Amino acid sequence: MYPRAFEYFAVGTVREASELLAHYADEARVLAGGQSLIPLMKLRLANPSHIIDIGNILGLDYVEEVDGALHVGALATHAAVLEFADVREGWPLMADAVSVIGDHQVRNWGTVGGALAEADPAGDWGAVILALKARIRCASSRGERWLAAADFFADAYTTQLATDELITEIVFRAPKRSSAGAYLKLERRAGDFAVVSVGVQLSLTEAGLCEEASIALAAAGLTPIYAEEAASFLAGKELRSDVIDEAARRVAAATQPLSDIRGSEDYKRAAAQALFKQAVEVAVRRSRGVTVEAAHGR
Amino acid sequence: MSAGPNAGKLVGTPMRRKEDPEILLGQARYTQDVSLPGMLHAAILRSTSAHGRIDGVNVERALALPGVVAAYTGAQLKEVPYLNPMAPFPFQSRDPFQKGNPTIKFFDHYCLATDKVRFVGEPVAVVVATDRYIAEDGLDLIETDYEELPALVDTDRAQAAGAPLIYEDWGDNVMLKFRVSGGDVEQAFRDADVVIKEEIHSGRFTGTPIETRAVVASFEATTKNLTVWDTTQIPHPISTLIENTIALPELKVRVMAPRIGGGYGQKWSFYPEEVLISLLAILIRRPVKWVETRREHMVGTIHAREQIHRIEAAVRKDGTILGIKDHIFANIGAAYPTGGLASIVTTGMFVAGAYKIQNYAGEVTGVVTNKTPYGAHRGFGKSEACFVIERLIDIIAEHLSLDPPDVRLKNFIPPDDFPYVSVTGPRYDSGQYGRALTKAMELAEYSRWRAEQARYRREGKFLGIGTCLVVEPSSSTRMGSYNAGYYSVRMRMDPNGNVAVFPSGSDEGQGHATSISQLVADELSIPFDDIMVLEGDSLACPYGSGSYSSRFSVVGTTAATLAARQLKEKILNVASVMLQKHADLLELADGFVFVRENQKERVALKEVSRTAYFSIFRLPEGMEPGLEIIYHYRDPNIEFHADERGRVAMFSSFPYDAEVAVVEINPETGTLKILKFVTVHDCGNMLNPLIVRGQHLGALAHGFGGALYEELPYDENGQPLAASFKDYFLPTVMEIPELTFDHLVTPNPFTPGGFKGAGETGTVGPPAVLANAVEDALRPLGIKIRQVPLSPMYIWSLIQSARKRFSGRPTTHLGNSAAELLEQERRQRHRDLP
Amino acid sequence: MAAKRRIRVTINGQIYEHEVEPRLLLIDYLRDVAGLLGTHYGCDTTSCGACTIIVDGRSAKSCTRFAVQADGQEILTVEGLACDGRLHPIQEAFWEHHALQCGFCTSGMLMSAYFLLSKNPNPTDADIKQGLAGNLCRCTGYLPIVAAVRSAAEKLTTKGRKP
Repeated sequence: MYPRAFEYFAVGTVREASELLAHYADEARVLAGGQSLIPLMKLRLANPSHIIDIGNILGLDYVEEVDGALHVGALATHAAVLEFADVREGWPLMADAVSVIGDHQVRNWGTVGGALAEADPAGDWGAVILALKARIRCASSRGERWLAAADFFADAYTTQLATDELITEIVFRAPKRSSAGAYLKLERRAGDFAVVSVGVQLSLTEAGLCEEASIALAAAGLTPIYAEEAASFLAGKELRSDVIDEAARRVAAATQPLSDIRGSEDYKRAAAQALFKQAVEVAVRRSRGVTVEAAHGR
Repeated sequence: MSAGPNAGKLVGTPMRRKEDPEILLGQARYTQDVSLPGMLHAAILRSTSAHGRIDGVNVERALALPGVVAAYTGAQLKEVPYLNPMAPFPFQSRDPFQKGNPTIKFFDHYCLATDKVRFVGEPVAVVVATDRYIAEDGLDLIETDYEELPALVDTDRAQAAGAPLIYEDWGDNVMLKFRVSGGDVEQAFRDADVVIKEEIHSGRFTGTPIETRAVVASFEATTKNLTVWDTTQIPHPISTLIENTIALPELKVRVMAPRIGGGYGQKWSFYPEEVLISLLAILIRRPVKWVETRREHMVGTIHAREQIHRIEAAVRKDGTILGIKDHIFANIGAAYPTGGLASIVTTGMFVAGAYKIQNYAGEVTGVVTNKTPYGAHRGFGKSEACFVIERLIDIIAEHLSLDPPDVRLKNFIPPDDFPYVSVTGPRYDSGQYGRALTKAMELAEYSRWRAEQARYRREGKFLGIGTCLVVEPSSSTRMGSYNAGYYSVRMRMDPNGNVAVFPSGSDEGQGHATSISQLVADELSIPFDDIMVLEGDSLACPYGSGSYSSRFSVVGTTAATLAARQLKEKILNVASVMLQKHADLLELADGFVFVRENQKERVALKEVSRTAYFSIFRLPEGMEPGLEIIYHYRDPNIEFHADERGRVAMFSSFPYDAEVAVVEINPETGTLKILKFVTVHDCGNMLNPLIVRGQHLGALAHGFGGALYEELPYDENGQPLAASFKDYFLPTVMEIPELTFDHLVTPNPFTPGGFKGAGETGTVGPPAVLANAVEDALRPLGIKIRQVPLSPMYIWSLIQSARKRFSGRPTTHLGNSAAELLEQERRQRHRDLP
Repeated sequence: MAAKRRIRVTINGQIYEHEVEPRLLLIDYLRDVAGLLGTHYGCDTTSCGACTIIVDGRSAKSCTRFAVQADGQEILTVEGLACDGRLHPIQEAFWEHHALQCGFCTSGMLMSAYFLLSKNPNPTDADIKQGLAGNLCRCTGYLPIVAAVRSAAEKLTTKGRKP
């Protein structure tokens, strides 16, 4: 409950933060909303001797639509994303996921960039960026680069960010017509980490053919998982029940869940299949213009 | 003048509480709010090993840290000449019933571990610093060296031959053995048509009040007065226990329990920290404060309920239960003086539940393991007993192809049998069990749900209905323990006519101040707001045993009522001198004492009071001045002495609750949805229906937690796996189902108010009724439920095991599967083609 | 050890200025430095919400924020709800509906209710439950709290005022 002592820097620019990170390397951690980092520090599981508070950097907390694509500043809070009017319309998978991150207190202060940089295996944003094939802009005092979501996560709590790099923006492509998504999270109780969660984004033709599918999971392995085989299996097929069942099996096969207090490996794989099928159903209905509330695994 | 005897009566009304404004304004003070000049802060190093020999604990580096004022190990404190091992609780001797039954082994635990550590979380060392942050830094600098020993987490393994000994001098790992029997159980088993044998597990649970524990101690060296602010339900016993443990000559301990943020039994215990912090204040000569972190709480505050019952029932074909034998194994954890022993003895007494079963033999074995010590929790052993008997009823019903409610109705103690002496001795005061269950079933529309269930089954879906009726005896008295069998209260009317009441318990949220004010306002006919209640101060309040066992409603209210009546009698006697009229002719109402037949002949209550205090020359010979009394009310309907078979009546009153639950199960995820939940609660008369409802709802929430969400698993090395609120799934608002809530009122015949306890009953039912409902839902698969919580993983695993008999397409909650939806579309398109 | 930082915080309309260690949690600043004891510690994993306050108009768990992060911010704690000793309508509603027993989680519940009603003056029961889902209670079973928030919404609407 009581963190160790640390030196504290409140910076005003990305450059400043990057230079400090380059200087202090492993001794430093970035503080954004603090909703992931501070709990770890209170339990003394993380003991950085230097904290770089980027919460005061201006101009990074936007959520805006640019030519149909959604641009989310790294310091945008989860709540700000949910409040952006078009999110539910254009990116329902994201809306589903963000609405079950923690609780309102956490959503008011936790940031999208902070959550992604934390790379918690159970982190919902990780599955969201994979399922929506987002791109992440990373900046340092040396310059800028873009990472594809698929290239972002390296391991549990580890990303491909360099020591002196920060996320500055995440871009989600404009939704295709007749495409929709859903994200379902199985929780032991409200506000909990996922037992397992599944995000499905589908594009369907008028004839009910699945043009493209994208499937990602959280709390299903050391990093968020993109179910490549299941997704490519669905592409170009009619969504008959045997097809969906086979896709579900491939989704489960793509996972490497850990047995823990929330469930055994086998249970989590089975739950992933069940959630996948439910998510497909919700996505199909939404692609047909029906408004559906996600009933997370209940 | 008041209009008549019942006009304006406050008892029985749902008044809002006088305690609330202070709390709502953020002005209420809890133990963690206490601050004293010069106060220091303690942080406690706890064992990370479940079982180990302490080879060394070194606090040198901690002492060198700036801001650290002191640091101690168990070995160092043991050297303090006046420090004793922790005094026993709740039993004060090794043979509390003086019958050699139960037999109990004790161990001399000090407030910090000395030779061995025996559970993860056991206090090992302490650092005292100028603030808590620095004290925690100090903990990081303590070096400990444990020689790891094999850990025991399972009662069967702990009792097996050759098992490592947790307490070497004991020769085994059995702390307590208790036997109780009544009737002729062997004959019952000979007469049976069917004998049913089962093993049923009750899961480890902890009540987790939102306020963790805290202790602040301040020692005055010249007078040797020690003041201890403590989150305790039992201020007086704790003062005695501390004095017995810290045997400093002339030490006088005052325990103050400020507002307490929830207890539920978790704060009815004798904890090492209560001794440790007190001792530190004495050694350091400065006030010391310790606030428990939640992580400390999950391992250092008592758990409860972990038991295995190996039970047999002798049954007739028509469902009559002739007799029961039960072997009960309680997983006690380490042998600290926590109160768990009394709880498990209680389990043995109440396995017969609400049923007229007059042949019984119960044997309780308390087995020590390397887990957190077992103590009291809401339900106090009876929750475990109820879970077992209510499951057993359904198992019997299934065996005999009867409907479970019918087996219940057949075996209930009939209304005419009350007061009913149960097979183990307790005297059940009153009840209408059949009526309560029938009412609950009507409210739940039981028959309609059975029809619905048939429809579900045809579709291969799972819906189940469960029933239960749980009796939760309240207000316990126990020979040889701190539950000494009386409730004391001091009551004073001051010269201005205001009344101050000093009950001997403590308030963890039950609304004692409001309840007492309602009673006293009615008895003395004075305004509700003119009554002040001060509780939780072992010096100011008369000596008593505290708050536990929902006893306030039964004996606390009665003590206050009878004290008020005694005070009223004195008021009338003083007034009689002033009015020169016999006291029998006088009435007290609306601030006056007046002659009943001639209301103009009157004197103001304030005048009476002033006379008693300041004009004592007017008082009759032999009458003591003042208007202040102390009253001790003896618990009714109990016996102190157990007989040779272990039978004894330990509880005064018997509230109960009939419940019906309807659940739907998703077989793919094992999750369940509660479609209907009905509770018909009978706690006798209700002093304040708003408070009763609140207590019952809160208890039900605890019940849902234990039934569906909360688990305290340990790995094979004794490491607890749920040691924070991240992994211990206490319910949020989202997990509480809609409830239908109704009452029966069958008064307590032994007290003037007719109230029974109200605070525990609700926690007992949900595990049983939901287990019954889930088993009912999964009956087509032949699944048996033998434990709680009914986690999705547990349900799913049971379904997987029965997979070969599972047929039918899994369906989703949303009705049509995606495939069906698209198929419908296709058919529609084909139809639309020209 | 670490250099202290000067912070300036407005709490319940009053300005506070102090030098604090960076690691001092906001809840400890409120309780031990500003002397506002109404906000409580209930856990150490950001789970229970007993420490909920309002920061710059948004609900926050004060145990999961450093005091230095609150520099320049406006904070509302439970002590700031009542006006001239008169209970806020949310507090009145809690009182009427017996939405508190031991009271330890209550300040957090009040602040979460305040936040909910400031964003959504006409919440459905589902909205209310979502709005309270970050606050744990062990005494009341929650349903009276939901009823209290419902009633508070009505009271505020009737009075035509914001929380």
